[in-house]
Amino acid sequence: MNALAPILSAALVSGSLYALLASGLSFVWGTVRIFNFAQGALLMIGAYVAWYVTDPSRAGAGLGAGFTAALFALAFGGAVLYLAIVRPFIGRANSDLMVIMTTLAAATFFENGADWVAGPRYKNLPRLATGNIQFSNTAVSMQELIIIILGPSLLLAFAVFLKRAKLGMAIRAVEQNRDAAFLVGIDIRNIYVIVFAVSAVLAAVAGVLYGGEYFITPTMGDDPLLKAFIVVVFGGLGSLPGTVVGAYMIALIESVSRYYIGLYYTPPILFGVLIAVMLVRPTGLLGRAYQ
Amino acid sequence: MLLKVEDVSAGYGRIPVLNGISIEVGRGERVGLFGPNGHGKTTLLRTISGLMRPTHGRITFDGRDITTTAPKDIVSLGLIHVLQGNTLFPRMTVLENVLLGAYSKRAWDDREENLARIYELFPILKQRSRQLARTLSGGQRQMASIATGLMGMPVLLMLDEPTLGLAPKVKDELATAISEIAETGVTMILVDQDIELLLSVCERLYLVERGRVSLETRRGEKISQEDVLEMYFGKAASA
Amino acid sequence: MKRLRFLLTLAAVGGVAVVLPLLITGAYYQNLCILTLLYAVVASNWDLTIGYTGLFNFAHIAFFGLGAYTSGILTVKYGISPWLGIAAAIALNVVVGAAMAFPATRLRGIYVALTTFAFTELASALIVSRTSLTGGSAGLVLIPSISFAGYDFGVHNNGYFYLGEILLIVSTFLLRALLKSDFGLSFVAIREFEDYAASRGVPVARQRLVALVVSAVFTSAAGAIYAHYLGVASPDIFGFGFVTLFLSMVILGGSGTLYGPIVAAVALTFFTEWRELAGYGDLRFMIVSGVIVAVLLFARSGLWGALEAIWRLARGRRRTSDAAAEAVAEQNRVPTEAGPAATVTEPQAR
Repeated sequence: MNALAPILSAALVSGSLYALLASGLSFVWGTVRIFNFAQGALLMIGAYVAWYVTDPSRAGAGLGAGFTAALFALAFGGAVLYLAIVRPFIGRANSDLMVIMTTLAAATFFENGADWVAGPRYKNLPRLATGNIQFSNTAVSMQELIIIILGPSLLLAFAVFLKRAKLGMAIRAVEQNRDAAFLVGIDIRNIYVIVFAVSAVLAAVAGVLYGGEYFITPTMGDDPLLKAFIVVVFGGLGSLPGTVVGAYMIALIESVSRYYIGLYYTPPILFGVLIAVMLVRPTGLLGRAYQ
Repeated sequence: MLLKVEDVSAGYGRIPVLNGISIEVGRGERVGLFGPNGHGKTTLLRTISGLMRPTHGRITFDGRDITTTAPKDIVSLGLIHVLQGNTLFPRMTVLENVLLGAYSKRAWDDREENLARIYELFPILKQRSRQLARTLSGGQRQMASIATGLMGMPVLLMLDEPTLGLAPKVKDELATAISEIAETGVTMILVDQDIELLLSVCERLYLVERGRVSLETRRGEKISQEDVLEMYFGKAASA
Repeated sequence: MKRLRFLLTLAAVGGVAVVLPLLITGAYYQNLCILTLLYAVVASNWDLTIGYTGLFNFAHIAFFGLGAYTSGILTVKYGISPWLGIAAAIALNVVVGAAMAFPATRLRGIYVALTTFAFTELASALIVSRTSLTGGSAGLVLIPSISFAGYDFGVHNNGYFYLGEILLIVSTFLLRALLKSDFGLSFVAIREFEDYAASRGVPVARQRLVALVVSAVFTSAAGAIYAHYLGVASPDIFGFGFVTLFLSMVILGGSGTLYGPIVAAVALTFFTEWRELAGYGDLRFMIVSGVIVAVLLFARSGLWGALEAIWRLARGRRRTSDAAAEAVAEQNRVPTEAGPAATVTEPQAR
């Protein structure tokens, strides 16, 4: 019974972060049919942009400005990334595999670029709010509470946008039937750019939240990317509900395993679960068949 | 002429499907395309609507060259293509599907009025409006597909095999609806295997074979249904 | 005639292989050469699966890393001979390769990439977690050097140089023979038309199994030798850095070519390890990643394809049929995003 509160709060915090990053991956896969290996690097860039704008030793404009700057920078960055290294390959044979390579190259480029520009010294962002809240036998920091609330709220807002807005409808249309989407007059090229920008913004939010919890380093995105990767495969690539469910389930498995089995044995357990799921249900728990 | 297709060739990869095809459609005219499967009818429609690029030739619509125009711009000129095989957005409701038909700026503002007219034409769609498209029957899906096309306020409506694979009773229902649409005066290109339907709706027919027009005939011209059928099956058998 | 040419080639390659380590005696350049040879083995074998069977996978990182750790652990903890360690590494990875072939034959495209990537991460996570056996995240150290007939390779790096050469030559000749066989030709059939090849009776599953197992043999041997050469095996082997480096060799060299990845391994190892550029670590990798994107954009057949084109032009014997076919294919590529959908979704056109 004592274990319940710490396990749950840890699972909710990391689940929310995973959900933010993984939704972007899954969303891009669902509409554009490519897998973005640079998603973790986008998270990292979001954190750095926020740090440069926020930190007193640099622009010193405060966290609010830093957060906003990260969102705008990444919306732009996501669109540019798409135009530069994804669009040229769409329509070619094996475009999904080519884009794995170009996005991997982009991730390498950004990580080394960040190291070059920002140097190796660890940085971190101030927390969005300070203080703790006692929750049963566990102290949950305000920062964690914000993560737990902000993550799902953003994704909910995103889901409502997809459901209700004309543009959201168009995005779903592209995902479900490309040819028919063309024929009702949807400009698919623009939709793809928007999809990339939105998923980069989700990564930026995750980056700012990570940056307040952990150190900002050029490779800070690698581990979250890996987790997001497990999440989307587990939950089902291209399915937003599947991704969110997957994020919290993976976070829960991870949290339980860390508590009872230990930190070092957790990754093998996660990958074991993942490989089992892939062999039994290759399209993930809630995913659809893909051709 | 509203639509002019001149000497157009197109294909998939290295396989040519259209070999210098030419057709013309006048304003307010209903034109039918028929011929054996795999000889380019669908490819012709896909090329006109911009889903495929011709490798050769020219397409003009309402005096504008649309040979290399993007599909969305072609749609916004009022040239609407309803795909073969009741192609819908399967995980959206019927209402969402139909509303997406009015996506282009030209049609969006009038969507409510058009929706009312479409519900009159296909009352079943009103009943099913909250249902996911993939749960509809084949005939209903075809109706929703045509409805989606009508929501785009077509100047020229291209229907690709609307009665394909439907039961006779459903087919009759659809044929009636298509005739009703035709009576509104919209210009139409109708592709179908049902010659009876084509003869009842269209003033002019093109027989498409091996990627080109091998025969053109008018309803007024003395040509019986038997002649058409013989021509069609005779040639198809030898092809 | 053919046989004579083969023997002459063999003699020439053998001659160069014998002489090269005698000419390059500086420790620094020997190190570069040894790394190049081992990386070239990994890249060309990885290309057997990516370029020839169209199986985009991350398995070879696991083969390489597990090869290094298997031999490392066996020699450090159990004191067996490095030669037996290498043999054990190969044996283990043949099993791993066969096991990987199971999902790889059931899944398609992106999911093969995802499962094999997950497996690689699993291997890495397992190694980090078993600290007592593997040294954990700090790595396994004091891995003994290889020696042969009392000649310690650790003292004279010539030994590793020759060993690397032998491995690369044997691997290349075997891959070449495999690709020239009927079996190898059907690899390409699978890559180009998986469904069609399968329907014509080409055993897709068996081919992928063979490709994975064969390439596992050489890749794990390279990994094991790498560990003995450096004396350490660290979890970095499984990291993004190595993945990108090896994949770059495949892509830059030209996937689906036998010699391309080898050429690219030479170029990239020298570029990324060269001491004159020591201060520019980050920039070097940024340039490499930029070049990868550029190659994928503008020169899809990679360095080797470019070399071939120059060679053909120089000999004035450009194969016009191929060029024409390429031109046609290029022309038919719909330049909008409609491309893939537009070319595959029409059920009527057959």
